[in-house]
Formats: sequence, structure tokens, C-alpha cells
Amino acid sequence: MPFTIPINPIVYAAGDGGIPTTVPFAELRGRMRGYEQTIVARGGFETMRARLTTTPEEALDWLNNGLMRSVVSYGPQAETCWEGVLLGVTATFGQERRSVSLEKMANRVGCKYSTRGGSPTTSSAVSDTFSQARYGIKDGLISASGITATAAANLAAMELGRRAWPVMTPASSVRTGDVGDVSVELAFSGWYYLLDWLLTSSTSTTSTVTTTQAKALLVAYNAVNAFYSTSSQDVTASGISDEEYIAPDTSYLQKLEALLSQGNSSNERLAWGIYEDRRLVVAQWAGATPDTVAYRRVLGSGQLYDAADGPVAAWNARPDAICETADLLDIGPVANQADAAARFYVERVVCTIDESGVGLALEPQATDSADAVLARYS
Amino acid sequence: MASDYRIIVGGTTLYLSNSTGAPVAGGAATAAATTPWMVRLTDWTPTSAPPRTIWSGGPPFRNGADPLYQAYETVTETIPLVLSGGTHDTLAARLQQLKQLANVALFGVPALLQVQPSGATSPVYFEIYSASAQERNAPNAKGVGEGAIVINVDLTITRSPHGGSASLATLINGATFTNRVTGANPNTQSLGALTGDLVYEGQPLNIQITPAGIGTRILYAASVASVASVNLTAATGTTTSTGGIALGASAATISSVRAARGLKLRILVRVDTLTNPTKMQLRARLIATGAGATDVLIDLPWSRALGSNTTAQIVDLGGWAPDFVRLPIIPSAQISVEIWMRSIDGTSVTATASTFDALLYYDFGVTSSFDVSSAGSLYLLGAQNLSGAYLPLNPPRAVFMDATPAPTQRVTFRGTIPRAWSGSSLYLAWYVASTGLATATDTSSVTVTHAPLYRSLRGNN
Repeated sequence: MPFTIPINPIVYAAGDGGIPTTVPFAELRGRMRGYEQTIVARGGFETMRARLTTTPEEALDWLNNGLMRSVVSYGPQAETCWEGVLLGVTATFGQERRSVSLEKMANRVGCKYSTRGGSPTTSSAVSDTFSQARYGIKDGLISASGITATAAANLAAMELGRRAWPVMTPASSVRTGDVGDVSVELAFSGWYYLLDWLLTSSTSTTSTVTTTQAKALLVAYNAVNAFYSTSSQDVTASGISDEEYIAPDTSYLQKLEALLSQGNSSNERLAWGIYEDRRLVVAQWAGATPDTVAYRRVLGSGQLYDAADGPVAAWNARPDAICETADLLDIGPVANQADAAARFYVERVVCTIDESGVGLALEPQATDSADAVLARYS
Repeated sequence: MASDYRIIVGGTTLYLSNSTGAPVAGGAATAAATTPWMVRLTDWTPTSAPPRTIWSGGPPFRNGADPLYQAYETVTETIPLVLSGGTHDTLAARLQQLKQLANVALFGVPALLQVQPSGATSPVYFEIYSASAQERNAPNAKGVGEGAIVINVDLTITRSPHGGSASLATLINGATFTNRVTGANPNTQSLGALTGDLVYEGQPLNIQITPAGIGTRILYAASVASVASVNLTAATGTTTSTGGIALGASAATISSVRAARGLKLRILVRVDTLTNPTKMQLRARLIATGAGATDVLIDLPWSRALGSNTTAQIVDLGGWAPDFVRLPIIPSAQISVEIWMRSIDGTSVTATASTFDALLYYDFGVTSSFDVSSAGSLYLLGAQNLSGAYLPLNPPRAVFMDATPAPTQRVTFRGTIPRAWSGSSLYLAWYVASTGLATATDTSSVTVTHAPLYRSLRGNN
């Protein structure tokens, strides 16, 4: 048996309405052929993929019953490495492949329409309560113009029928040679991205601190899909305020990002995400104090170290940190210069573990044009 | 005593070596004195599993590389055999019997290969995962295709990388562990002398823990090189600050880590006289020692909010690999541990941090909640004997079983179930799951058994 992947993802049974439970369903330790996790400075736990060789019966179970099972990946020191929910399964049965995903699913659908010569409005949403009881509520919105309210309602109902359940995507090939084995790839998403599942709106023009609004969004979301912790112990107040107004048919994720992208009263960026125990974490970005180095690299070593030269396992590396390479001597970067020759701000970390070993990629901050930045504010 | 090699499946044993020193033509393979099989021992010895090492660093930036992780491949080897059939039909029947028994792993439990050279006191057992047998012409004999009655057989097996023993070694037998580091029957007790080839790499343990009392528990378990109970002086504090306050600091000696690369430091703090503990978080700050030292090495992450109990709790503050003390000039390594407290929402919180346990550990983990109200024990299982010998259980498991024993509660284990390391001890600490109460006088009865592993030969070890 080649190198053993030391992570133990524990998959928990999905509860009613997609609400995560603490009932363990499976431990993947010792069974995986490959593991990859990504974490981002604006979002938190992003994606996780686990590949395992299975029996046909187990692969079928993952396809039929796996979606919305939650997962917590633990490291060998009992630390939480990643946490999320299963949104996609791909099973390979030799030359047959089946994929199922919640990406296109919508079980509460409205139609945004305008009548001939009328103003835009949205039809009452129609729901598939069986799908909602299984996965939680996920909004879908279609658009049409120049139709009646009755037609809009019909369109919404038709779209619901088409999208209320996850669609299976088959791939079948017949070829000579080795038929292949049975394997499963589980694609997990961080809980943060499920904030895009629900649409909201608000006509309030009250000015409120942006982080306070962010916390309130989570509370409101939880009233529909109780996915998140509403604890605010890791939310550092931004100190700036904005209107509570939310345009119709805006997702919770869009509004949250619009608020937190504004930064804080020190004119610094914020880093945020959904992390352990599905808690929202908001803090000033580490790039505001680039002399505070969280991670160090030495070119002759294949390891990452913390500021006190303690080795950091690849699966424990987190974004929103300054990483410095000791051997690359900077002339002396400006105090507020996050990125320099020897150091950079880590926006995203990608940890990959397979039978050949462990890899860690620390990705720098994206180069944002002013337009792209402003587009997120609107 | 002749060498003794066998294939064992449940109640059936196939003898590959005749105890008289020569195979009996057409004899029954299920008895040592009548078996028609013989191992051509001058041509074979068990293969040691090659290690698969993951290396860190290397040229062109430095000379050499450091080992980071290591595990072992399964072993595929060919055992050369002689089969004396008496008649060709009997020969074919004996050959079929071998092929059948060696390939039961897929739908049953793996067959065992027993290896005991002449003069060895104890056998070693390897699990066989798959096998194939190819007959060949024996020297100076009729060809196989011509109806030979004596043939050579190449038995190619893929087996476990390490062999085990038919029984577990008892390291700790019904000992009382009290939920504190110091005093009589402490929560850290030596595993004693170990046998086996992997004593410096970790060998499986089966740990049975029977807590006294009723209610739910969460258990910390670790295999440690040492544990220190460190007193904190003037360690009472109150805060409404979300930034936190320092309760107190004391130095912990961590000199073992200078030589032992794999050891890590873990801090578990014991706090009592708490107010509003569910609004409180704790953290450890590690500070360099030395005259006038104030350099903060690292802040470990804030703990979860504490449980509701206001009398006494034990809180895991996390682990750290103190590589910085692996320097040649430091005669004894110490690190100062400062315990911090904060309120998560501005509610006033108070605590006294009386001591902390500083573990230098190899393996550490924590269970999910389990209920001890009904009679039974928590088992942390690292070894299994499904095929009849004790070999690693992959992956290791935790389970609560009744007195039978039969499983009654599923328990998950985060981290690494403790293994046996040369010179190590077992550390246990526990608290009530629903409230966080950790009573220092609570006891558990603990039995620890050990499955030594062998690469090839064992002798009497």
C-alpha cells in the first residue's frame, strides 16, 4: 500500500431539510486514493474532493443518497482541516460513469416578468416540498417579458418540474482493453456558497454597521435553512455603515459580499468566511500588517513553518496570512506593502494529497481591476 | 524441530512443510507428518516490506533530504514449493486445495501464512490478500504435462507488510486511572517494555476504558513520552474583553523534543470556579524562556466556548511542534505557557486556571460523546484478529460495547488512536459531555493490550 493519506473526513448523515446532523455515516480514513481541499480568504472553506475505490453497491448509495451529507475533515492531531457539504458525486463503473449534482437544482422557483407595457414584478414562488424536505430550500429565478401573470406562473411551475431534483449526468463508452474499476469522487462545497441558495430583499434605508448587517443576514437565512451557527464570536466589527436596502431577488451571498467588500474604518480590506462549526469569521485582512509573518518557507525544505519555526502540516495551512521565503532577501519593502519579492499575501491555499505524497499551493491575492472591485459593491 | 510453514483459514490448516523433513507422497496436507508439501527453503526467506518514504527538501537548495512520512507496501513474493502427489490425480487435488485456500480474502477473512523457521520459539503470521500457484517441472522427473507425480510449485502471494502474533501482550491490566496527572493512580501510566520490530514507528494497541459513574463522557487519549502537571500561580481573572486577558504563565520543560523529532507539545488546561463559562474561550500563548524573555512564539487558536459547568473543566488548547528548541546549545529546553481568557460577547467571565497538562506526545485524539450509564466499556481498537492473528485494524476504530462484549454505541475518534512507542505511556483525561465537568477524583479501569508486529523473522521476541 503506498503513502497513506493521513486525513480522516467523517461524513455525517443528512438531516431533514438538508440540516447537518452529528450522526456519523462513514469515515473515509484509509480508503482514499486522493484528497484535495481549498480554502480562500474571502469565503473560508471552499472545495474538497475525495476519491475512493468502492464496491458497486457503495457507489450507488453515494449517487442515490449522498447529496447534502455534511463532512468534517480531521487531521491526525484531531484538528479540523475542512468542513462542508456534499453537492456532487461522480461514480465510475468501469466504462460507465454517472454524475449527480445539486448545482442546477432549484426547488422554489419564481418568474420575474413584465406584462406588455407593465412594470417588472415577480410571480409567487412555487415549491416542491418533497425536494425541500430532502435538501433544504434552494431558490431559482427565471425571467420573461411581455407575458401575463398566469403565463409567468405556468413558466415557474414548468421550471420547477424540470429542476426540483438533481439531474443525473451519464457517460457511457465501450472500448477494448482494461474495463477499469469502480470508484467514486465526492465533491464537497464549503457552507459559505450555500448562502447563494436563497434570495432576499429589503426596502429599509436605515444605515447600520456592515458586519452587524452580515450577522443579521445569517440569522434571517437560518430561519429558512438552518445551516449556520449564528455565533458572532469571531466577527470583528467593521466600524463602517451602509444602507440596509437589498434589491429584489438578491441572494444572501451577494448582499453579504457587497457589505464586507467595503472593508473597515481603517480603510483596510476584510477577510471573511464560514469556518469551523459553520461560524462566520470576519477580520481585517493580514495584508494590513505585512510585517507580521504567519508562514515561512525555506527553499531547501519541502515544508511550511509557522512564525516560530514549527512545521505546519499542509492540511492545516490557512489563507489570509503573510508568507515569507527566508532565503529571498528583500531590500526592504515598504511597511504597508503586502506583496514583495520575499513575501506575499496568501489569498488561497490548495492542499493535495495522493498516493505519491503531499502538496500545498499558496496562491497570492487576485489582481482586481477597479471596475471589478466596484462591480461587487453594486 | 523442523521448520513449520502453514496456510491457515479458519479451522483448516494446510502444512507446507513436513515435520519429518521430507514430503509424504500423496499424503494429507492437513497434518504436519503426512503433508505432501515441502518448502524449498534454500531458495526462499520471507521478504521484509520495503518502506515507502516521503521526503522533504533536497538539491539544489540543500544536500540530502529529511524523511517526513513513512508507510509500508504490501509484499508480493514467491514461495518455492515441492509437491509429491503419489498419483497425478492426487497431485492435482492437493494443488487445487492450495489454490482455493490461498484466495479467500475477497469474500471471507484473509488466509494466514505462518512462518516459523527451525529453532524459532514463536511463529509470525502474515495475512494473504491474494495468491496464484504455477506448477513447474521438477528436476529429473516427468514433466507436468506428461502426468508428473512430483512437481515444483511457485506460490506467489501478496500479503500484509508485517506479521503478527497469535495473541496480544497485556501491557496494563485493569489498572485504575484517576482523572489527574499527579497523585496515586494517575491518568498517565507506562506501557512498559515492548516487543516487535516497529517499536520506534508505533504498533497497534487495544485499549479498554471503563469509566466509573453514569452519564455521558468525552475522552482525550494520547501516547506520550512525558506529561507534566504545571501549576499556574495567580491565575484568576475576570474580563468582559473580547480581546482577552492573560490568566497566568508557567514554564514547561520540553527537553525530550530535542532528540525526538516526532514529538509534539499539547496543552490541556484545568480551570475551576468559573462564571458564565459558555461565554468564555481560552487559549495558550507560548513564550520563549530565558532571562527577560518576552518573545511570543505562537498563539494557539482560541478554544470552543466552554461547557456550562462552573466547578471544574479541562480544555484542550491544541498542539504545536516545538522545532525551534532542536538546537545544539540548549542544555534543557523550556517553554513558557501563558493561559489567556476572553469573553465572546462582552458578558463578564471569570475563571481560575489551576494547572495545565503539558503533554509531549506521539499520538493524540478525542472521542465523540458516549454514555456510560449502562454497563460496558469504551474500546479504542488498533488491532484485529479476524483471520486468527493480531494485525493492524485499518482504520482503527472506537466503539462502546456492553459486558458481552457487543457494540452498543457508535463512537467516532478524532485524531490518532494511541499506538505503542518504545518508552511511552498512555494518557487519558475525560469530562462530562453535556456540561464539561472534569472531576479530578473520577476514575476509570483501564486494560491495554498490544499487538507486536514483525517484518520477517521473530525468534522468541
